[in-house]
Amino acid sequence: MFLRGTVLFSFLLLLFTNSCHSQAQNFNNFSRKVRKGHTNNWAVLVDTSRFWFNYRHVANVLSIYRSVKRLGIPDSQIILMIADDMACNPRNPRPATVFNNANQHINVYGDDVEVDYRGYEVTVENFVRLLTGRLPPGTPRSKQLLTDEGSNVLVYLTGHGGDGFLKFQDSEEITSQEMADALEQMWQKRRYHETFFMIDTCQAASMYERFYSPNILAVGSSLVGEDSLSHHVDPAIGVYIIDRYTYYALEFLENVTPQSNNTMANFLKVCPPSVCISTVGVRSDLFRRDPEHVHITDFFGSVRPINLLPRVTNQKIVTRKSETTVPVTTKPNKYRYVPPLVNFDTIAQ
Amino acid sequence: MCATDQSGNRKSESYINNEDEKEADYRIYSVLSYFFVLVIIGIPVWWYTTRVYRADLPIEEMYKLQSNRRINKDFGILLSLEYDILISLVHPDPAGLDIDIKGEDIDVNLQPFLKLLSPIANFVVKSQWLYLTELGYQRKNDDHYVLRERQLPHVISPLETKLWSHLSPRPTLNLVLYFPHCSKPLYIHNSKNERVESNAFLSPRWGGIYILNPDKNSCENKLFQPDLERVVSTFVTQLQSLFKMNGISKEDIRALKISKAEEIVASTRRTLNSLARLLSEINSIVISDEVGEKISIAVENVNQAENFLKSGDVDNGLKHAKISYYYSEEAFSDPSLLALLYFPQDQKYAVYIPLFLPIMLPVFMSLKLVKRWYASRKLKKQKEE
Repeated sequence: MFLRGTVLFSFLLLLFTNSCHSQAQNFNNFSRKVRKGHTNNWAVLVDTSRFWFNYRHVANVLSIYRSVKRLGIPDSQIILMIADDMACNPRNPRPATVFNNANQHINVYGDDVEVDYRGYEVTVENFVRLLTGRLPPGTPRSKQLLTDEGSNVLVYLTGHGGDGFLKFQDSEEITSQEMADALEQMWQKRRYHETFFMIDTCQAASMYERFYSPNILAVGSSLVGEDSLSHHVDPAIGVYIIDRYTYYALEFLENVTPQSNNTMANFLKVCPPSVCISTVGVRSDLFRRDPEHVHITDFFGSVRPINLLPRVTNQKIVTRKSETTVPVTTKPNKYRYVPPLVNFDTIAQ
Repeated sequence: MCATDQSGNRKSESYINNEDEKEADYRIYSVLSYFFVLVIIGIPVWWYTTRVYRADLPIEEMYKLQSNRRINKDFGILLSLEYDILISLVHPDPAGLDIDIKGEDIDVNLQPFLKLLSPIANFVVKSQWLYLTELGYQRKNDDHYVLRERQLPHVISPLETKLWSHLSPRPTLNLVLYFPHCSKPLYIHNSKNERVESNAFLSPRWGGIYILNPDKNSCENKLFQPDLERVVSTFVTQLQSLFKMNGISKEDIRALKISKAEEIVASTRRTLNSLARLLSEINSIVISDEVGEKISIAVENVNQAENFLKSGDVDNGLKHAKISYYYSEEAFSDPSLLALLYFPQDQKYAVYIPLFLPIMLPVFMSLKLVKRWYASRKLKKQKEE
């Protein structure tokens, strides 16, 4: 009886182990020669939590959006995903604004914020489809991540997380394995040159533990088992306004200009445990270069390589003036005047 | 029902024994039938219906397609079968100066060059005017303004926010023509602080900018007629540089066709190879029949393209390379190729085990009964013999 039970159990166990993912460590990809430098910059900024009391996550992602735009990445190359509308929330005492500081100096939800995925469109499926490029054919261009081989991608996630997962919309979650698989598919399709993965949630380090694709530098606001804390509350609005890690990261980015030579190594040291309370985790083993030699603007700004044009080879022209054919159609006269049945001029006495 | 009579007892015992035997037989048959239905039929049917559907793929062929081409150090132009060329005419001072040039004129004169390139890609030319937009980072130098070489990388990004070059499904090549203010002529200086004669520069993969200063006479007359030949020549040179062409002679075009065909074949092979690897690694991706068909077409055409290129037939090789590239891209970015997010393999077992295990346990336990019954029947047969 016992023997049969153990046989059955071991049979079932065998089925289980055969189905587990085989994490192929594709470190042979390191040997593939990668071109120096990048040609353009993209940013994917995601806020995954809804409800009024998660105001700080929206403020986080909008503040990073502003910094990234200020440093030069155009809106056409930023994908902004915000899961809930705080500015027009009925509980917002300052409607049409989102602040990231209790002194309410900057409205981060200004006139020029372009949200690409809003509200219930922020789902795990849409996020994975966006990263892997498998969107349905009619998707507008602003909702597609059109990166190529030479693109440096900044991925910023904020919300509520746990050990190995990130919660989306309070109803679903993305696991760290799925995130790693999505990034691997991006690598296979040559959709990024280098990726900087920033995550500001509880137990953030668990999300990047399973990465196995090369050229990814990852930083998380807390290690496994630690919670990331928020910075301060705004009594006028009534909620926590911003998270600690993002607050200090923004402080750092405020001092960065498009021409600055500041390195990523300094950025990775931002927010020590004395101010952040949680320990900032960094994963740099998959990153080919030394963060000491990487400029901040490689990920946060947009600096393009240029070549001067030495000589101009003369090209004969065909015509000086092109004939612009403007189709002129005379519309047929569809209307004619019909006199009224009753002539009121004669009737009115 | 027990009979109390002694003989009756024995009789009923034997009756019961006979009945018992028959019932025991029926019991054993029912256990065996349960076993047959659940294990022999049920498990294979469950396995078949909950498997991830995968169409037949030439996986081995796809794995064989290893790319062995050396990669060029610098980035060339983005690989695509179609391109948009966006001509932007940037005029910061429309009130102070009229400029007599039309996008269509430039387009008509670019067509001869684009026709030469038509075997490798299709081009759609668009043009737009941007008013009241300036280029930043200018430094004053006596009576004219200067853009130094090291500031040029920072010029493109602020300009790009206004260009709106992302509204089409094709990659865009930007050709910008900038007319500085009459009172502020702008020149580009290289790193040695010498004036660059062409007054133009380009960024690989993005496009080029040409700064055309209005001359003094035009400024006085408030009407500027740019030298169309100069503009077209600069743009054509920029396009040549972007496509990494040395010239426009027949040999150059042929070299371009060969290099493009090789690039397309290499990219297709890479795509198919990585698709094969992905589909083997992540087991929970569904492969529909359409995707399987597209992959087979791509594999077939890439082999044909290879053969044509080896034999020197560039045109056919390019044609088949383009077909294979198109189908491989379609297959790779098919929206149905999404790993089953909420139905991974181990969770499938976690769902079905609590369902099947309670049923299976009694069936497997009663196999012992079957063995005992079979042994007793054999013994009885031996006894009867």
